[in-house]
Amino acid sequence: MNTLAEYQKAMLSLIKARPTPPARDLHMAELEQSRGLELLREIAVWWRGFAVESTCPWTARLLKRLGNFETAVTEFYRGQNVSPYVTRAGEQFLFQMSAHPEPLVHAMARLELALMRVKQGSADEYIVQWDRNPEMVFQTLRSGSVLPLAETGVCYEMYISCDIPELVRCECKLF
Amino acid sequence: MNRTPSTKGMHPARPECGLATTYEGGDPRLLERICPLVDYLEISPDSISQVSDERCALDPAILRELEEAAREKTFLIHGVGLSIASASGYSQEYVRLLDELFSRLPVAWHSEHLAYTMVEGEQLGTMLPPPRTQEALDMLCERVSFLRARYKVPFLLEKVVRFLPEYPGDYSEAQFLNALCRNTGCGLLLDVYNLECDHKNFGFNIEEFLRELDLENVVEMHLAGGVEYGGFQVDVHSHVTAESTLAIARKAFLRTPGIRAVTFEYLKEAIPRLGHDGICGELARLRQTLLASEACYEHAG
Repeated sequence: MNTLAEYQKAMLSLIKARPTPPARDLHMAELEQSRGLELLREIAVWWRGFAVESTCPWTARLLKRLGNFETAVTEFYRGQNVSPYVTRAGEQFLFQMSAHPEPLVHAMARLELALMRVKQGSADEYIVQWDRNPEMVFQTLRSGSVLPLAETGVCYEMYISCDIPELVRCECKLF
Repeated sequence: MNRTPSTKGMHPARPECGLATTYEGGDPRLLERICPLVDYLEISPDSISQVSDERCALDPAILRELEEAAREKTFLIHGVGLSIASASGYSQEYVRLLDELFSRLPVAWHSEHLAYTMVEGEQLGTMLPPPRTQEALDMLCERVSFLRARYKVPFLLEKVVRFLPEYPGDYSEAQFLNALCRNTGCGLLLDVYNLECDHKNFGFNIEEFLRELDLENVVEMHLAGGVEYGGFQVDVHSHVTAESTLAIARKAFLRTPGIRAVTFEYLKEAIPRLGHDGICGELARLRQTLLASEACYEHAG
């Protein structure tokens, strides 16, 4: 190690499991092989998962149902500068999930993100499109039964705004 | 506070040592139960903050609740997010939170982990101890002096648990802490469970550490219980204090002449597991088994 700053930069790459050139000094090589490193990484992801579950419970529940929660949180932790503040971390996660390739995940993340912003005082109206009945999605997530399939010839448009009683309303539109 | 008579051969005078516990707000029934049992409430600025409009600030509802509690209690601030050991600079956001807290609540002292949680502004998502080098020591001394001058109350540092092999530094753990205290006038927060974790994980010699450490710098002691996971004893504060931890605490307590508080520390997430009864029971147990012996302690020399 030349300086404290260089050492800490190397530690950041190590903890976040980012590709680094092979370790040149003995200490870094020892760290790379240590059992504690895996544990630290696991604990860091566990904490981020906890933040996600507490701030975006429906997106977390959906990802768990789809078997993607661990992977999504790990990628989120490694790829982003995740805020230590739970609400901000949740917002960052929802923002990332809003671009998820699975339409159900991105609709759910957009809904929770919109709700978060409205509750924080946003005066904007947000629209989220679902390819299946969101009511059924919530029901099955609550009950543990099978998620509904995407529907053809129909789109569910959800409006989220502080001007709407209970903040959300949904319209079913036929093509 | 209960006191037992001074024991012959022991040092007779010692500042009053109180009992403290964690409180993170939003649980008035818990607050009502713990207030009569403790002398201080320990709060963490990071846990009682929220983000809005890209700015982090103390949660106004929790702050009101704490201001109400301040009629009876004094607070200890215990931070997580200062990242005092980051070479690229500590968290300015955390300092703003501290400023706000100090302006609103009566604070006896504040403390922070001797660690870094971010590197060049990026969060690690965990807490790492700095290498014990001269460069790190000089940087930390400057920052501690700044904090002491800014808030005019004692500032304590806590040795954190480590899970990684140590960088071969210039100082032992105790020597590094002693030098920090000597150079800046800061105090120490001795987390006994952390010592036990290091002992179980790396064979850390607690007795040798306590012998080498200037114990008169210890102002607060943390007690907690955790779990074993993946072959490591981890510092999740989710359980009551184990007997083994309490045994170490008793020994250390008798050798810390300046100790002012013993704090039972737990995570908010562990409250459902511990239960309000469990937390109150633990506070009563600590007062009875640890603080009852406060009048008799071995002279540090």
